[in-house]
Parts: sequence; C-alpha cells; structure tokens
Amino acid sequence: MNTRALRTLLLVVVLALAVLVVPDSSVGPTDVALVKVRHAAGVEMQRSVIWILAIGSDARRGQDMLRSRGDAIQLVGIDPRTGTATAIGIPRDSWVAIPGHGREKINSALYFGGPQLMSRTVGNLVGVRPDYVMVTRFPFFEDMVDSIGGIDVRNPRRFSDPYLYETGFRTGRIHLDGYGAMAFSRVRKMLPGGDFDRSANQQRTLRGIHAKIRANAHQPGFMESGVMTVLQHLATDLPPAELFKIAQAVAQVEAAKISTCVVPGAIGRVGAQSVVLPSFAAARRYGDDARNDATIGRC
Amino acid sequence: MQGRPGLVRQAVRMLGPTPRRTARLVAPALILTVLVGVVSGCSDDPRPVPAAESDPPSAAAPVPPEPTPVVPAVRTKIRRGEITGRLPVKRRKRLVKEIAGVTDRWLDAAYVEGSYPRTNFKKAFPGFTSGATRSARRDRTLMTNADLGKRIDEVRVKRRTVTVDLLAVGGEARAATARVHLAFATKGVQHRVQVTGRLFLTQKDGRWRVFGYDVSKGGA
Repeated sequence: MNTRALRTLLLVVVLALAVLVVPDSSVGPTDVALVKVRHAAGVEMQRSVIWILAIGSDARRGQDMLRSRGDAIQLVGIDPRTGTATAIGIPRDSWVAIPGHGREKINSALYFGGPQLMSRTVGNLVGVRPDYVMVTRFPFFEDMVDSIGGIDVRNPRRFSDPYLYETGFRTGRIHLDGYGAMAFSRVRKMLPGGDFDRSANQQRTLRGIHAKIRANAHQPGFMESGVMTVLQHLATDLPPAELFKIAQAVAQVEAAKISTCVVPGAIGRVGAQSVVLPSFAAARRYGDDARNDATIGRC
Repeated sequence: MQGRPGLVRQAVRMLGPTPRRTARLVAPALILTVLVGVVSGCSDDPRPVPAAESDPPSAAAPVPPEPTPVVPAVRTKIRRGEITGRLPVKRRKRLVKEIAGVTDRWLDAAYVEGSYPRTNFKKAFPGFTSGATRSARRDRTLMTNADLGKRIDEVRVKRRTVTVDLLAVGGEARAATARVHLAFATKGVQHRVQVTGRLFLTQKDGRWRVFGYDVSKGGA
C-alpha cells in the first residue's frame, strides 16, 4: 500500500471513529481524562532507619540457639519512609575484637554472650548498633521458606556441594525450596570467594524472601500468618505488634531500592585457624553511608 | 514517605455524565418523588387543607424552591476477613466493628465529609499515630481529596467496604489489617474515583491506631 492510500485509509478510520465517539446531543462533550492510579505507602517506626541483625545459627536440635555460633550474619537496615533497604554481609570467620573476650571469630560472640554481645560486636565493626537481633536455626528457616512457597534467586555461577546439595545450583534465575535456600546460603567451600561469596549468596536469599513477601503482602491474612510463623520459629522477645510493624516495614521496601554489600577482607591464619581479616575501613564506610537512609551508594 | 507515583500506572477513561447517565440518576429520584406524591394523594387521612394551600397562588407569592431529592448515604459494608490465631467469636465481632470504625473515620475525614470546595485536610487522619499522620500528610494527594478538593462541590459515595484481618496471640488481638475499598463520584468537576488499599493497625493505650498504610487512588 502506498503512502497516499495509507493516509486516505487513516483519514477514513479517524472520521468513522469521530462519528461513533462525538455525541449527537447538544450537551457538552463527554469529559475524557487520562489519569494514573497513584500509590502511597508508609509505616511508622520509632526510628527513621531500623537496623536488624539477622543471624542464622548453626545450633543442632537440643542446643541453645542463643548460645551457638552464627553461620549467617547480615545487618539489615530498612527506611520505611522511603522504602529503601540495605544488607551488610559479615563473613562468619571475620577476626574481630569481642568485648570482654579478646580477638575471636565474630560468630563466637553469640556463643560467648548471646544476642546482646553479638549486637555490640557487629556494632563496633560497622559503626551501626542494631535495634533488633533475630536468630533462627536452619531447619526453621527451611520451614519458613517452604511456608511462602519457596523463593527465586539470581545465581551468578554454577556450584554444588557433595554434602549439602549434590545436584548443584545452575546459573541464572532459580527457584529454591526451603532446603535449597538453606543449602544455597550455607555452601562455602565450593565457591571461589569462599566466605565472601557465601555472604553474598545469603543476601540473594534475603532478596528472594523479600520479593515473595512483597508479592503476597496484599493477600488477606498473609502478613498475619507470616508473623505467626515467625513468632513460632524465631527466638525473639519482641511483642507480636512490634513484629507486625517490622513485617509491614519489610513489605514496603521496593526491590529496586535494595543495596547489598559484603564487608571485604583478606584470608589469613591465626594459629591453626583460617580466618577472615576484615577491612574495618570498608565496614565503617558502609555503616556511615547507610546509617541515615539505608542505602549504600557503592560497595 | 514521598508518594511514589509511577509504581502502578493505568490509563483509565473517566466519564462525565452523559445525558443517558444523568437520566439514569434522575429517573429513580423522580419516580420516588412521584410515588410519594401519589401515596400522599391516595391517603384517606381527612387532613384539612390549610387555607393558604387551597388558594390559587397569586403572582406575587414567592415560588417555593424545588425539592431536592435526598440521596441516601451509602453505609460501609463491614466484613470479617482472615483471623490468624485464636480469638473468641464474640470478641472478633466487637474488634472488627471497632477497627472498621477507625478506618471509616479516616474515609469520612479524608474523602467524604467536609464542606466542598475544600482545601483544608489537616484533620484528615483521625486514628493515625503521629508518625503515620506525618507520612500521610506528605502523601495527602492520595490519602485525602487534596488533589480534587477545591475543584469539586460534592462527593457522592457509590461503594465503601472495609474488611478486617486480625492477628491474635495468646487469645488477644495484637494487630490488624483493614482492607479498604471506597468508590465515589464528584460534582463540580466530575470524576469517578476509587481508593483501595490497606491500613495497618496496632493498639496504643487501649485504642486501635493506624501506624501504616498502602493505598492506591485512581479513576474508576
């Protein structure tokens, strides 16, 4: 069809539409407005940014979870005013000063002094003191992930583990059930970056959990039953209402406004132990950067 | 928190009252008026007609204003949603009503009541905590009618429902979500507007207070 014919056809269509649309009465034309559906969300918390130290404990059944060693250590900041969040990953084997106990691996702070000492130790490293410490053990973590129907994560590299996950995790977007999420967050030896890569994988798991919560938050009773599950599975002395507020703050975080970094460092040896010598400067910089707005500009 | 326009966008065709629509709205009112008249006329009541009424109206007599058809107010439909945890049935009913009441007061203060054209929305958040009030004031074009207020003469509610989900721990309600749907039409500049979303509530000093919200507003 040539241009002229096309133009003629277009004109005919426009005229035909005009005949259909223009009202034949003398009353003014129908108002037509193009509007957008706008959205607003906000959650009041006592502080502008709330800091939660999330710890995955390696406690076995029967062991006191609050006096075990933390296997996963993530300091999570949420700004409910802006829907931003950040996670600062701390390698489990980071060699740091534990108040009253000299230098030790950071994960033993939980064993020495429970959540309070763990909070102080992480606070000293990053320069941000957590408002809450949440500790869970892996079997319960698996149940929680299963209860939300599993999660999706973006895996940057293929890896497997002969003990935890023999079939391995393929590259790309993958769906994980509770056990898979646990294994994805715990495997260390098969990763080129060891403890650092594991911490980054834990952050991918957190992103996956957050995405699932956010996608389902509007479903009737979803947040309430989620809080109930957390109450049953987490060691917390928080009142349920406070937990509900935190859960709603988490649900308001926008995926695009999440920044994550892992405290870098070098691998070293202290006696017979292999340890991570963390970069204190980088840890402080992340804390300073995120303290007031839960955002880290650059890792 | 700043409003985050652009999160959800939807092109909506908003229709003003076409003649046929206007006719549809006026017709029931007219029918009601006529029916009332007919019923009055058929009454057996031998009520004496006052002299002033029986006299033919003189040219000088003031013409009484046309009666305005009264549109009945749309009452809020309150529904019980999901109850998580154990809570006695009687208490459920009372709580649902109480929480829906808090939500309803916001709908009235923010959108429905007030003298339109209206520019003052300072008291639009009864039952909100101070922090939630500050946040909602920043989002006032969504959380109230502040975007339309000065251009409209009236708000006519078409539908309003509040569904309450409860979280109970240890036999006591600890938190609640009120799911809201308000649909209204405005006069003056004519719009059809829908407000949907959720309010999050916990108790403070024995009263249910709104500490957060997730609300959308757009054309119906």
